[in-house]
Amino acid sequence: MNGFSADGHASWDLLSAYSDQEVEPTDAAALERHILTCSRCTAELADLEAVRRRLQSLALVAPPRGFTLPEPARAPDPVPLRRERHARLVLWTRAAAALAALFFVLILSLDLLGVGANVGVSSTLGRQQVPSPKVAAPAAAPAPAASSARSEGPAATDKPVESTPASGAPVGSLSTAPPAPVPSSDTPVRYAPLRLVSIGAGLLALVLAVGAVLAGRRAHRPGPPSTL
Amino acid sequence: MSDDVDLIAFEASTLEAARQGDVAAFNRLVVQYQTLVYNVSLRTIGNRDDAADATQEAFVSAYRSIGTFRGGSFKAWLLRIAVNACYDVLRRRQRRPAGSLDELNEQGDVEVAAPDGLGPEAAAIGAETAGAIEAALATLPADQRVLVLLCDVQGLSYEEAADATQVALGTVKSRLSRARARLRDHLRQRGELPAGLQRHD
Repeated sequence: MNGFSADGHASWDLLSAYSDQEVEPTDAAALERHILTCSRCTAELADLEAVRRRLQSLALVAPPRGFTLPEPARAPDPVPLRRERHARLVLWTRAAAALAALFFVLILSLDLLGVGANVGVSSTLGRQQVPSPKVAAPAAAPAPAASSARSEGPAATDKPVESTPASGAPVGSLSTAPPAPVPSSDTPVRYAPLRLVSIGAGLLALVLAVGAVLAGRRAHRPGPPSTL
Repeated sequence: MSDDVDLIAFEASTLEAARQGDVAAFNRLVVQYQTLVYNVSLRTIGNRDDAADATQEAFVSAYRSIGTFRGGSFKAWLLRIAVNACYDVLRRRQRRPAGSLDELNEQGDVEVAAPDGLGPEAAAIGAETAGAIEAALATLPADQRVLVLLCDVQGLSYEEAADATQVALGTVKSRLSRARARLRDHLRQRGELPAGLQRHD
């Protein structure tokens, strides 16, 4: 019979399947009939059921900790947002740097071209520079005159020598004419503001440019790995 | 009975929320099943730390693949994932060349593919709980032990167990039978089964 060994007793496999109700009804019926009269198979089935009962009443061990998953704090993935803000910051910094640099170049070129006639202080600047050549010109005229006077009368050295100091005003003006520092000491207040502004703009442009480069480098570094 | 209905309704709505990516909802399922998964892992692997690792891996994996759960017994579905996590841990411990799950299972009776037993810590766990049955379980090879845990301890059907361990139904049947026979022998040796001694009429 199915599941019965040669000696006519129920195999352990049959008993095992029977206890799980995984045996065909006809085979189950046959087994039940056999058990009624067989103490050996009755004992075997009893052992099997005892083993299963022990397993079913196995004590539960308390877990050492919980196993819940970390829940996201606010937004599901904050990393891209940070990157986006960062990129925007870099963009604005670069734009500001470009504008400041442009402003600086503009002011400086206006300054150099002396075009600032309509602009208050640069016209002062212009006036300082223009008089210098004018002062130099009359100074240059008496200078050759003085030198010619000197060269003409080697004998009468005293007179030309004396005459030279006499025309000391133009000579003096010669020596005082060219360098800008002298006029600047006269009118420092009018000179400073716009030049300072343009220098300041230039420095700002430099700082922003450096900052934009550094920020750009940082934005290209990979972000932190996701937790899951 | 109404408790069962409420439980089923609770689980259904929680599962739906979890499927939508609601981690808090999934965590309610974790809290409900973590003792079960931990115990199966502990008795399969035999070591508390590895069991905790396997349990955590199982729940992470379950969250990721929650979309593949199509209904039926959530417990059986979850235990399938847990068994896989346990086998992964066991394989890592054995340092055997990456056998597939099939390899571990289909080499039949076993001492070759699966570890013989669990070693001192498992026996200690058995001793702690003063259970001969725990000690007996620890002596089984892994694939037999897993089936005993699923069917006899957790009450899974042959079909669910076959699905959880990725073996044929017939294999579940024969393997389970062999496992129970070994447990019976172990308990008999310790005099824990008096019925077995009385063979003659």
